[in-house]
Amino acid sequence: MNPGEQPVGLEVELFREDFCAATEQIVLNSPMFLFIYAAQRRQAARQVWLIGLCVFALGLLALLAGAPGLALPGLAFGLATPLLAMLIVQLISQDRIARTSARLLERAIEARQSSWRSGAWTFEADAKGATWSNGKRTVRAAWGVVVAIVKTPTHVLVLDADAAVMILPVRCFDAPEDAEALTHAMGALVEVARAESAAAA
Amino acid sequence: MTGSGLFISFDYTVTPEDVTEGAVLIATGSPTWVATRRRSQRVFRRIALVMFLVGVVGGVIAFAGPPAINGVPWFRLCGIALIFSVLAWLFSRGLSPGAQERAQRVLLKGAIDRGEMDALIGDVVFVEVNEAEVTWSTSLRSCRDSWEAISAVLVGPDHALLLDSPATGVLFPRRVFASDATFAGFIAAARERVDRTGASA
Repeated sequence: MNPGEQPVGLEVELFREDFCAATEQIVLNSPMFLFIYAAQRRQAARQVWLIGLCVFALGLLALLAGAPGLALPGLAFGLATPLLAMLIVQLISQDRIARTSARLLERAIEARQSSWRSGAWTFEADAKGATWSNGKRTVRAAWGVVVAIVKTPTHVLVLDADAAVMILPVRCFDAPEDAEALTHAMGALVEVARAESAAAA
Repeated sequence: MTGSGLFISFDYTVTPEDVTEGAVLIATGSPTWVATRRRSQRVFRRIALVMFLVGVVGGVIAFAGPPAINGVPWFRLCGIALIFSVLAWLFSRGLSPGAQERAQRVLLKGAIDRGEMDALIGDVVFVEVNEAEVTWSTSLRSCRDSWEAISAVLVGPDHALLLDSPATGVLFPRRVFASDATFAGFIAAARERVDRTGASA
């Protein structure tokens, strides 16, 4: 299966679980999400540091004012702030966010709050790019805008710069080796497109 | 731009403001994102309330409690609980729509200044809308959405966005419309079309 040599076409039946698996991988691989969550983590850690500094200063003031009973908790809390900041950063790790996002998407699909619908999709890939459609939505992406081709034990995912995703469950391939071959072939096409755009720039 | 109501077509060059406003509209208006934020906000508010109550009860006991349980450091307990209460309240405030909008603007400004959005800025986007579908395309990407794939119409001061997945959509800058009335007419027609599709789904 090599779209660079011959166009590839696949009929895909997607279920809610497929979208949830895809969401986890989007959060873990899409540059847009990596960037947003990294910035949010930095912001949260900064807030905790700031609050810790204020509490430490208050504790210090209490100590100077001769109230050690009040000062000790403040100083202890201030000194424990780096630990708390580390804990918060750990709590909002990319893995955890990915799992939470998948769970929330599952609920959103159940509540029909999300426009991602299960059902039949078609995937077509050729030397220039990939097309993904369910009749209601058709997305065409040249290999140059694909940011990641992700292969998990159960899915092959094509992510583009806008965090749109094409989801190919391994069960839709005749053999698991076909999924592996398509992943490598698409990866090579993305590399070529990137090299061409870098050369053009 | 040509046409009026739902039947319009135009092209525009993406500016840094378009990228920022599009991201702000999605972060503050996408039903999936809003649901995620409200859930986190609820959790932090509950923590703040519980800690506040612990703090108040601790304070009351410290002042008026029976001597038999005075061995417990109620003042310290009260202070620590109140500090955590303020901390949780601050986090819940950080998740308000206004705070999220400000955070998104800061994030995007940083990304634009660092050149991380150069792939999008300067791109020429062609948009075509009619009674059946919304189409947009650039040199490397294209997307055709039937109205059934559009889940919401988000409107900002100078942009409208048709949301086609939890985190992507088609952007309509006000500047491409002939007048404010044409822009308002398009938004009204699009809302009516999305409501009609939602009602029949």
